[in-house]
Amino acid sequence: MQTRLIVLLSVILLTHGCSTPGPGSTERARLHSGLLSNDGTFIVEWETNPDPIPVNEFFVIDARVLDAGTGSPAADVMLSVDAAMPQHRHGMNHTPAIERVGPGHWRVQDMLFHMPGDWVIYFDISRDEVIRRAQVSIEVD
Amino acid sequence: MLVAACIIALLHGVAEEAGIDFTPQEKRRILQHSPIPPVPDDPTNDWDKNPGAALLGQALFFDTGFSRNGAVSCSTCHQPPRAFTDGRSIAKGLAPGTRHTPGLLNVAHQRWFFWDGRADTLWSQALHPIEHPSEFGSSRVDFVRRIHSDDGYRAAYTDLFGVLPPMEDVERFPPGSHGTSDAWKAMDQADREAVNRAMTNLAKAVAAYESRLRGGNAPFDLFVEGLRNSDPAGMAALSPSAQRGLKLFVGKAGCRQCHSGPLFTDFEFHNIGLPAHHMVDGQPLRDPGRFDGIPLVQKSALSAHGSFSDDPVGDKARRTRSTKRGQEHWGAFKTPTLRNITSTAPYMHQGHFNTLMDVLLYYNTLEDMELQDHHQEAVLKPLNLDEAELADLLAFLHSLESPLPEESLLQAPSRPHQVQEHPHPDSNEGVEQ
Repeated sequence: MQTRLIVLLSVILLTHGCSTPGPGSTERARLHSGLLSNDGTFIVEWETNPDPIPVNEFFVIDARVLDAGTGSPAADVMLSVDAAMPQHRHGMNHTPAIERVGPGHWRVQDMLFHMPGDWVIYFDISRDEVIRRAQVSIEVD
Repeated sequence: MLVAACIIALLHGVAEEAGIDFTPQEKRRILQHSPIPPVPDDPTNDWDKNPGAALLGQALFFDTGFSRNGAVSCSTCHQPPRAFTDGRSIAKGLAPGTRHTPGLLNVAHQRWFFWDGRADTLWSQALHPIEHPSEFGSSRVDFVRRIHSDDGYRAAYTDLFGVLPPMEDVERFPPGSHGTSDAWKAMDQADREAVNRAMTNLAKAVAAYESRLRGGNAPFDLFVEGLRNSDPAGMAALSPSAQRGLKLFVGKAGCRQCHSGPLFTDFEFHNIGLPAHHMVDGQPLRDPGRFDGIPLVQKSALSAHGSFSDDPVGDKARRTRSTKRGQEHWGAFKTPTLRNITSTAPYMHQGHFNTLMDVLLYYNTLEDMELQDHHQEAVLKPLNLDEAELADLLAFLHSLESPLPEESLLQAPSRPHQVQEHPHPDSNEGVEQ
């Protein structure tokens, strides 16, 4: 219980420090190493290549899903990733290609933010037919 | 007091002469637009950097002999002096088409081809006009037969690709057999495959030529080089008015939302609410654009993922397959490059506007814009620029005019099979190290 609380508090501190929109937010991609799913079940550690995310160039996400309670890889879940520009009311033009490269570990190809502006990346984690979502706002410029 | 006023006036004049101040953000955005990077490799075309293929492709590009009436070639619509456009609202080969001719300068950088992106490679684009009734109106069998019967073409082809099918056998290869004809369907599968292979090889040669059509440095590129190096002489390549226009372009006018990167295009598709401009049988042409382009490219056997591609399981093939189709793609058309835009009037996919100022005025007011429903993008808002700002923006667009490629690439070569002369602009051939 104590371990879970420490992990949760760490994640909250980490994500809180990274969630403020602003002109420097292109750098937030590097800081979002721990993203908590909305219900607190999972942590998504992720990074992009290249970093920061360029406008209109394909990039790759390396994503690890951890159990928030234990901090260990969530080996029994599935991950899907998508992104959208809510202000523009459209998403990406491709469905990302997701490949599991290890327990709780995925490589996501064909990510493309074809316009500058505010994007949201969605990590949908499914376990036992229940989908839990973590999302992060990114500004690319 | 008078002295002070004179000094102020003098300083103001110097500032005007030296150009406009750009914020760090504006400068970072400006630098994203230049220089144009080297032409990317096309893994789906093993001949894309081959000089012999490019020379053969150049000969094909200017040859009217492949059209049904013997008067139409690629260069009929893609005219070099007009940055490879034709000055018409709507393209006209054998007959009028339905869309404006896009230019070809720097075309190898594009991600999709045609206004609706129904081709995903430069070579697969080149296949479409051969059998299109409004363009060449010919057939793939007749196309390959002409290569076979011409000594120069046959030699060039066999040097590059190997033996042609025995096209002299008119029973196996019936004249006029286009891809949807009964005669074509009745042909032996292996013969159909051989003709398709030859046709795609020739299209890859055309693509090799087209990939060499690079514009030189525009005044804008010289300016950016100067900006990058803090060199006032380089920055003087843009007038103060053009610099103010550039500031608008990367700032409050929001042009870079879609016209991003060195080619001033995101290579993707947007519905900007233009009403139908072209009439067909007295009715306005309703064009679905990208909405129809996506299934066409995904189903085509001649796309990057097809058996005639040299990389059917690579990135491009996968991305064609994974392209999403949504309601926002209805009426969406590819963002055109703004490079050499002053040479490519009229503008938009149906040649809606005769002048660049007409284009700017449309974006300025969005007058006559077709209402977009809740499924469509919400990007556009009226710019509400004043006259001086519009003039500045126009001056900036004029600064994107690049010199055309070398003269030898702008005309038919004397022979199609002289392998020499034109090293690819991005290769090291013939360059002293």
